[in-house]
Amino acid sequence: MSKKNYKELAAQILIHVGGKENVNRVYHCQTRLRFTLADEGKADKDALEALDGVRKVMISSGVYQVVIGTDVADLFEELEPLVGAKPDTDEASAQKKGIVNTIVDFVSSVFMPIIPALSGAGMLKALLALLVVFNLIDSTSQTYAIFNFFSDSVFYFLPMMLAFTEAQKLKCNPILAASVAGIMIHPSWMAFVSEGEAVNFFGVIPFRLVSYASSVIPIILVILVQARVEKALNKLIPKAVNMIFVPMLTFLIMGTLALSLLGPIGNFVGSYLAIIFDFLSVNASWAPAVLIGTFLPLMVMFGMHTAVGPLGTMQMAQLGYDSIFGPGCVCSNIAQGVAALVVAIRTKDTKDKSLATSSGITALMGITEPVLYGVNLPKKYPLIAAMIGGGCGGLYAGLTHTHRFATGSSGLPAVLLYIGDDTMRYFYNIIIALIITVIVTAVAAFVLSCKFEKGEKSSDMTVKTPAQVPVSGKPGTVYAPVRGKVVNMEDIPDETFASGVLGQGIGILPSEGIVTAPFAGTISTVADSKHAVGITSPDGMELLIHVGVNTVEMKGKGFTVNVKEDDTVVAGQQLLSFDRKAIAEAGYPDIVVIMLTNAEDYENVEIAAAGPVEEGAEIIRISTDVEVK
Amino acid sequence: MRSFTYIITDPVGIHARPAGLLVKQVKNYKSTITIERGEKEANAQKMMALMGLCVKKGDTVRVKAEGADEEQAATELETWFREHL
Repeated sequence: MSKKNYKELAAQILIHVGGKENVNRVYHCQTRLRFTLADEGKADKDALEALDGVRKVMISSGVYQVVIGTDVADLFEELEPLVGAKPDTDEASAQKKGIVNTIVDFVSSVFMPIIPALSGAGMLKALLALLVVFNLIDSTSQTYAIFNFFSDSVFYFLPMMLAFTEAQKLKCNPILAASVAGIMIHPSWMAFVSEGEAVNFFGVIPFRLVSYASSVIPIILVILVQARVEKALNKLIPKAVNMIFVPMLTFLIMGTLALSLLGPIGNFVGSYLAIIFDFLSVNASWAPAVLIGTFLPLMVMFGMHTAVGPLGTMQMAQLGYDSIFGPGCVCSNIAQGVAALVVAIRTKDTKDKSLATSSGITALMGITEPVLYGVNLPKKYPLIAAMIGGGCGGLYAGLTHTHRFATGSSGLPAVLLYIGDDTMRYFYNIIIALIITVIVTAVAAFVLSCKFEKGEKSSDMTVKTPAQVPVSGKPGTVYAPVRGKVVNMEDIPDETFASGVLGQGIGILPSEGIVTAPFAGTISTVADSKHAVGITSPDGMELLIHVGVNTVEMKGKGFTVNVKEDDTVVAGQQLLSFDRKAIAEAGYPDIVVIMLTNAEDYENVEIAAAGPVEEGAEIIRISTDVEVK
Repeated sequence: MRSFTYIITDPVGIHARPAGLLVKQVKNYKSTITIERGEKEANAQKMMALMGLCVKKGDTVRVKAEGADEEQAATELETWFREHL
């Protein structure tokens, strides 16, 4: 559909929803225009559905939804000026949140896929350091040099990896992006740089002599521009010769831009970052570790940790170590685990006890979502104790300049990441920091528990009727069981789910492989192939959580289930985990489908989320009364 | 009441997709449809209950129809099972 047609369609739609005056608010999701109308009676559903370009009209909980398709954004661009500015403070704040979310989402999707390679390389470095410390190999030997470049490769070629993941995120060609990154670290270019003579392209365009190996910011800038250049080229060049000329011109344009302009700018920014990192580690080494150690649980709740974490990765690329994120993170995680274990000892409530024990141990291994949402946040006092303890551990780690040489999970095994630079110093220091964390957290949690832990036996192991399930969260609300990005039901890549035959729901494109309980309830079914779990709430909501499409074929490989049929669970408790890589290798989408299978029992099923969601965010609300908003 | 038995040939058994289709099919009838596997039985209108039966390939299930259109339901469902499960 051309631009002109969108304009016409937008005008037609506006007429049939009752005109500009009738629209209180309009926004859009992936496929729909969503109107809040002053008077829904003025809208003409049949006339709207008759329009070419409108697929369907749906009215749900005060939102008048016009289904358009994936090109809804283009239409919205035309519609917005026609509707005019609506004074709406809600919208402004939503937009603001949108920008923060977009940045967080961008940063995490660029860096997340690279983490396994970085931690692998780091572990190799740790092994090398151990071998040197115990005098098993000599640091002048060939073996040492070989070990070194094995572990350095991922850092040296970091621009290529970043180019690839960023291109995936920006939906341009990842291979072209990686190739352009290759231009920037090509040995011939490196030879120019080391010769040190001025380089001019065609004798007129000066290329600044900068080595881009192991750099981060330059390539991120380059691909941001490349995504737009590639899009423009694809539009300009006729389809028939597209395949040849788009890559050719992309290389020519982006190679030139990268080495003349974007690379040097990025390098400039990057070197300032390095100066800041340097300044921090010399003058205020304690600050990042204390801040992360104390506030990480809150950052996790707001999703901020995915934006802060990559700072550590960048520091590692620049300086070879991470003192910003790693030390504080491991202290905070251990603190949360210890706080929950204190709860397990102190509480009289058997259900709390078992949950605190299991989730506390998981937290010690570096996975804190269950403990945060299941124990520490609901009870509050363990969270405060964990923040005090994590902050104290972080302070010691920071003052002693403790840093890790590889990124990886931040549980107890992570102490190995602190072996490097041919010394055990940082390893010992992180262990001391953790001991401080454990002691301070335990004492604080114990003292606080005397005040807050009531000595009453509130529930009994033998009672398992749904009515006894502690309801954490609002009734009638489904919380996101997994972190990721929301996909509308009709866009789920499986006809059965998308058609609504199985109920009403959404899909979430997961950013990690952990599924937690979306509300308190009873496990009604666990698939033998471990990829699907059904859960029923005390008030009767039946929800199916299905990981991936056609993943039943994997017969359980790559899946671990933590619950069994008839178990009672609290909201946020871990239900199952899955290996996203294994699903990708098996060739299936790993989208997590969340279906309210008895949706027809409710008059109103409202999808309450779009875009990126954290675990525990409200995604579906149901009500039996028709609400008028 | 009318009933028939059937041996499941679908490689995944009564999992999410087949269960959903069965629920949809069963809604065509006024009769109450029950699926029985061994000791366990489930109302075929309830997706969760169906999946909870954990019916796998090679399992024998008994399908029962009880109500005004049980005759028609049982006959049609038998064909449906053959085609889908």
